[in-house]
Amino acid sequence: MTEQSSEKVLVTLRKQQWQVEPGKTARQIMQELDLNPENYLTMINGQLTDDSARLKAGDRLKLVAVISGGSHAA
Amino acid sequence: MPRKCRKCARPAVINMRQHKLALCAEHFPEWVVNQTERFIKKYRMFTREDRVLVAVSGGKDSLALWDVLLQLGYQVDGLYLGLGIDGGLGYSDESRAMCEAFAAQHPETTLHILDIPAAYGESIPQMAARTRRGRGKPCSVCGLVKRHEMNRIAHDLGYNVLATGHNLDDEVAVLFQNTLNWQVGYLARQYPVLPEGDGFARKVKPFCRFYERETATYAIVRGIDYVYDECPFAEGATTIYYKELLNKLEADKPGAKLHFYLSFLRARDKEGLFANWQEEKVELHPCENCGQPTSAPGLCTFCRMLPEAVRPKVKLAHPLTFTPVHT
Repeated sequence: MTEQSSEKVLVTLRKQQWQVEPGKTARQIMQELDLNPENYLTMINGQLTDDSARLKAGDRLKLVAVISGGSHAA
Repeated sequence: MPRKCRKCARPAVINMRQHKLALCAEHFPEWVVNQTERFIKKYRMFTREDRVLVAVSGGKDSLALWDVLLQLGYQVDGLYLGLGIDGGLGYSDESRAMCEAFAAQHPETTLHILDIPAAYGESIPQMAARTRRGRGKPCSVCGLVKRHEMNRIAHDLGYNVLATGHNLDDEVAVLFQNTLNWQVGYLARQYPVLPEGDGFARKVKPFCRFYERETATYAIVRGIDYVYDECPFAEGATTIYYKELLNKLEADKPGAKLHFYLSFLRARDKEGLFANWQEEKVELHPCENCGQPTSAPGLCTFCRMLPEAVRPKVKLAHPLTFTPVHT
């Protein structure tokens, strides 16, 4: 796990992590990471939130992938 | 500040750009429940007199559907098929645990479980490895087993409706694939409800108009634990590729997926898209072993695939009645 800088935003997607600059919305961060916002939900500091929320230094942004393979009875 | 809920001005948990609607953690689940009821009625899926069996996988869609149908007061129970898929993650074990945890929190409903390896001596990957149908990827065998066993169990336990958690992204990915290949027969049959008859239970998809991100949001907001990991065999699946492609379109043109699906249904229902389509008549026969309908005399594909020693286990508890010709 990456140790978080208190001046950055820690972004987590499954086992991947990034440290990004604060002051951007979750949607902007996903776009900068070349991730399609339609494919993810956003949780900021453990709270589900719409992706227009702006992140502050020290915030943790977790991206939850929503696409599944279409099988509905594993 | 995130967007505010349209109804109460608290912070929104989701913004549905295709509806221009942002809702909070309280009003979003209410909206999902109300919309599901609307879709059930609009497509005449079932009533409160019907007995509904939801196929649950431990994933967000099927558990969310079970939760919504319980809230709406339908006679609904769950069916979990244990497929014996591990993939280094204990995938089937975790899926089953999620379904059992949900059922334990809802004593008003029953979870039926069929463990395929325990019942038939082989997991789905083992069946796939043994048969030509598998060809190294068990998805085709998996689909065959699920269709056969869901219909058998629904019949034996007296459920007349089988519900699945297919969402709009699932439906649109299939629609896109069938349109690319002009699979007219598949297109003509794609609909939120497939009527019962000829020995088959009615099949319904009450979540067919919700985006996948909406069913995931619902599950999280309602505190439903679900399996986040994908089936290990789904990696590289065509459906996932199409879903990603369609989400690129959606990002640029909000509502594109919903429009594609609804305009397809409109063309089908109101503009006679398949009015002249004549499905080939298939004569159905009861399978010599299990009794379920099959297109060729003798054993059905599922029973042919099973080792002879376990075939008696899949006989129907009581015989089906169906007309011999399907039109």
